[in-house]
Amino acid sequence: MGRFLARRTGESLFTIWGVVTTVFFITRVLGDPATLFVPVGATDAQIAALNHSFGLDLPLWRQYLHYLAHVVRGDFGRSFVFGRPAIDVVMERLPATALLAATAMALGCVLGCTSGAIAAMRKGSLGELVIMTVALLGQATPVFWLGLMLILWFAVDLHWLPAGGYGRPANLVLPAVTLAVFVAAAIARLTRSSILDILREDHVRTARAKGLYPATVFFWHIARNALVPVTTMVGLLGGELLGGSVVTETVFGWPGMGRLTVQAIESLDFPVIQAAVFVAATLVVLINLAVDLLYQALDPRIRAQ
Amino acid sequence: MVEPVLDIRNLTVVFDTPAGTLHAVNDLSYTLMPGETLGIVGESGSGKSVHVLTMLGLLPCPPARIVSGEVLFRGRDLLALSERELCDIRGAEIGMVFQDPMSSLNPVLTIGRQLREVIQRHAGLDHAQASARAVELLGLVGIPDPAARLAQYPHQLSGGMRQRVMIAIGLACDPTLLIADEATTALDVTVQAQVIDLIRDLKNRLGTTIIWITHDMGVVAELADTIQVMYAGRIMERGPIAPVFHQPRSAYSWSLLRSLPSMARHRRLYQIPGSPPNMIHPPPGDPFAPRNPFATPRCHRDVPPLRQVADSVPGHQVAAWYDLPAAVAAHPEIADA
Repeated sequence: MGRFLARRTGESLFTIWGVVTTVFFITRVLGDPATLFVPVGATDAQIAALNHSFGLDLPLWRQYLHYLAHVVRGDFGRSFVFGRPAIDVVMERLPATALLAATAMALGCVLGCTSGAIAAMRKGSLGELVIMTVALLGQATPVFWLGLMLILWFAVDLHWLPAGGYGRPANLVLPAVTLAVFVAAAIARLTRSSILDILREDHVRTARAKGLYPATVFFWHIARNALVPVTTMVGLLGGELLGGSVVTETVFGWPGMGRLTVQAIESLDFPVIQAAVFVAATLVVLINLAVDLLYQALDPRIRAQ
Repeated sequence: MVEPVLDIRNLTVVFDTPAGTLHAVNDLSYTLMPGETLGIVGESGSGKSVHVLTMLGLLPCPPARIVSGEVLFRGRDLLALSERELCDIRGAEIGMVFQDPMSSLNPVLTIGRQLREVIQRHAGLDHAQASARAVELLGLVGIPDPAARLAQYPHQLSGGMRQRVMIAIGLACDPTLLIADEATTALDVTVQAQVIDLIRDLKNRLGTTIIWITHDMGVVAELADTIQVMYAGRIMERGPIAPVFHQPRSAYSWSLLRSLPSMARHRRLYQIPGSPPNMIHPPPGDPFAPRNPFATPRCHRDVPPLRQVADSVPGHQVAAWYDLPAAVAAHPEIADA
């Protein structure tokens, strides 16, 4: 266990270094930020001064080493736009993204697992057909379109919920539902196929031959085993959501990391882009680590390897 | 008079498949007395597994469909019980041991959990009492250091140990009837011998009535009191071990016995010609007739009933129109082939 954790931690650090390095070099080819910040008709000297203040006049390799040395200390520099430490700007947006991701994830998991399980246990029924059709539509529907449609129905026509904003529980409903539909659709399809695989296995017959109650058979001998692949999917989707759902956050004006990242890219705010990508990558790595540990808890055969 | 533990009457089970109706079990009737060990042999598709899974309600219906019959277990018709009532019997009064203990045990639950859950379900014991009983059971089936095994997972045990765990689960609630379906098939020969010894020992100690389903005649000879040879969902021959093995009356059991390797006779093993019948379109008469070198015209026409062979051998029954000893004597070239 200790060795496993040490190895996985090493791998995680390597992954984060890779991401941090890649984003550094990619941002450098995006363009010259100084040109966005100086007034039209500024002199070369003014631009050079600005570049100097941003540290962009140094050779690339020195910029990179300087950048790495600071990243290790959690310092991504000051945001060109906000004039404050970039990491602070990003971390301020994290709670909003985390709240949206967690709500959507919880809603999607409950909905996806339940409907997937019903579809599998009632295979061949009308219920299965309906659930699987809805799930397929849910996965195929573009998130921005679904978000706009929800705004149209529930905010514009029915006036039940606000079209956007942040702060009250009501603000959360539409963006969370938008994301949850996508999550639930993916999970429902995987849960169904996973349960159908488990149902074919001999140990389910053994459980029934023991005279266990149907609920015991379902939860301990079917769902428990079917959960293993679903956990992976939840981890992948969770990482995606925590990185900031750019489209949903933009449609609903949600002040999360996704929207911040897009704005930072538009304004070539290198420190914020780098900080945001770093935070997102770290979260994804942490979730993967958590999934690996959960996996081991769920399937003892993996522990043995 | 002693009541039979199991009394199957005219059981017929079919599968509705896209290709047509598959006749898996055809008008099957037999009884099993307390303490008796019945060995059921037959090749795949002979209905030997299907009929026990049917009576325990373990076959998915559809595609399986019970057309007719009664299965009286200690006087109650299992087929007429609700799923809820059957649940109370399964694992408690009827224990089951399946083939391939790797796939028949849940890989993600501990041995202890898989034993305790059946004990707690039926015996109403608490966790600690169930654990104690689980340790006792693992000891009974000859697993060393049973207390330590409770926390282990199936993949941490060897094949033979896993099969012992399966047997412990089958015996957990002191069942009246233990059904083992190919319980030694997935094991190598030495482990198989150990498991057979174990079952024989348990049978003597606990007096459990046993149905042992296998395609291995050798296992039946070692373990069973009565052998029942099945083919195409019917009983071809049934009787005490010695007469059936020494004077088989069905051409099918005769062929099976001749296809066993022998230490005494060094000759080519007999190969039954043809292949098992298509059970969607079964042959009209005796199902084995198309492969039977001794078949008479009547065999191809009418289904033979199961009848007593001779008054001198009680319980020896055969379903055949021909007289096998006479037919073998008349055709020595087939017998020596």
